[in-house]
Amino acid sequence: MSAAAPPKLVVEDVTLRYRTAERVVTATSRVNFAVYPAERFVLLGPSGCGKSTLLKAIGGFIRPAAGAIRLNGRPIERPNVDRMMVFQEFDQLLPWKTVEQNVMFPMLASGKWRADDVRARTSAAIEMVGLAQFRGAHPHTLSGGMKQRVAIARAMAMEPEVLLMDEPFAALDALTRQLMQKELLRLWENTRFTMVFVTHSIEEAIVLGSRILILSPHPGRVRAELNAQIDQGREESGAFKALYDRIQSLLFETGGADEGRPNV
Amino acid sequence: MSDRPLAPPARADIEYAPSAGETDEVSQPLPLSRRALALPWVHKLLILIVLVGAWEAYARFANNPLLVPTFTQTVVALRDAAVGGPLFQRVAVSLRILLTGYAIGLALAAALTMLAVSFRIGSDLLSLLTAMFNPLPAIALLPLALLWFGLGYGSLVFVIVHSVLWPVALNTLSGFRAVSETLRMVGQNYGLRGVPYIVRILVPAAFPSILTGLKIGWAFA
Repeated sequence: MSAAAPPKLVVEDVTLRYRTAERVVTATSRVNFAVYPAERFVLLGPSGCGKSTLLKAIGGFIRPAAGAIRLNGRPIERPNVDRMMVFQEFDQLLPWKTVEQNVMFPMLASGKWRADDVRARTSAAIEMVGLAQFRGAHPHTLSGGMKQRVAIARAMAMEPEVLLMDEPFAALDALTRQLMQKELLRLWENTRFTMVFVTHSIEEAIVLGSRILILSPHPGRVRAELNAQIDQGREESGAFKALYDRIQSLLFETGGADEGRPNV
Repeated sequence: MSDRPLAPPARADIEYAPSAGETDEVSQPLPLSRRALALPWVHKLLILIVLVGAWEAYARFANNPLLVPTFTQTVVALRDAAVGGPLFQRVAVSLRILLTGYAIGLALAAALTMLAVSFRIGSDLLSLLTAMFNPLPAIALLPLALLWFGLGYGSLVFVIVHSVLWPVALNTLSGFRAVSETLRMVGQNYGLRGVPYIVRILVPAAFPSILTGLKIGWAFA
């Protein structure tokens, strides 16, 4: 990992709390990490480790109780189009708009591009995710995988500083999920966007990530930050298996039993 | 129990060539009569014809044109009033009052619900007001309206505003509240806030319940 370019996104000592009717719950406690340009940064952890909450804080939906989140050196204050988010839920598309209009809407709403540019960018984005023949379809006629493709196209067309992915493939069937992971990597090969990806699947983390942040639950703390640049397409290789086992033990070990183990 | 098989039988693998041409027709159109029956207006028309038939039959059986006129007599009376008679003029006057009241009611409802989704206090205010005024029948307010606005146009408009405002506001607000958290976050992600956020995300997302409110309001007006 070259640290020559400055980090794009810095999360510094971030503590996140949310309020329920009776109590204040700490979701993450003093989390630190930095995301560099073109990194595929994965937040991995069991449920309750606050990884989604962390992503929402980067998105600007939640304000940290302590610490700071900075994008290109500027603190994050509210949601905006420089951090486009792809959600897990299929209802993230506006149901009253067609595929084309859904992709267009944020470009028009943000006023970042001229109208004729928007047209061209929309077709390109829809083409890119292979939905050209569904451009006029409404979301309810699409399958889950297609909806997620539209959401990805919509987010990527905005050319955000960081792409935020909140378990976008978790609600898909296993075969579609595998396909979508491959597609996402192909898109990354072409455009080299920066992405923060939340998942609870070790496999998905290794397949997609170039760097993996492992969080432990209750409250979420950083357990480890691992390099995961394994040759793509060699999921059966020894390196994949070794990384898998290492993450597995980091996630499931009880306390410091792992400390004396040699590095894999 | 003794004849339970010990293991599944060992069987050879089979592979078929992928999509070897000729397939059965995947879909075919339904016959016209079935498609016509599926149309809601055809359904409703059939029910209407049955109801009118029952009316006509009972009126003929009762044989008392003053208490229960037949369907055909009613149609003739309607035609007499419409042609040459004052029906259209009177309808125009009623409609004008109705539309004025409806428009003012909608405007007030829009203002109140916008307040309600933007501020906590607005939401509390609106639920309190609807809880108080929604059950109040318009007819009960009429005497008061007559005192305030005098006999005629003003008091009628006031009563219509009252009966439109609360159902529309109530349905719109519950529609806004039912908009999923994901969709809200998507809208905020686009950098939309305030009135643009309400108009471009919340209103279309809550449109079905807003429409219900408009229908109920129209029926009460």
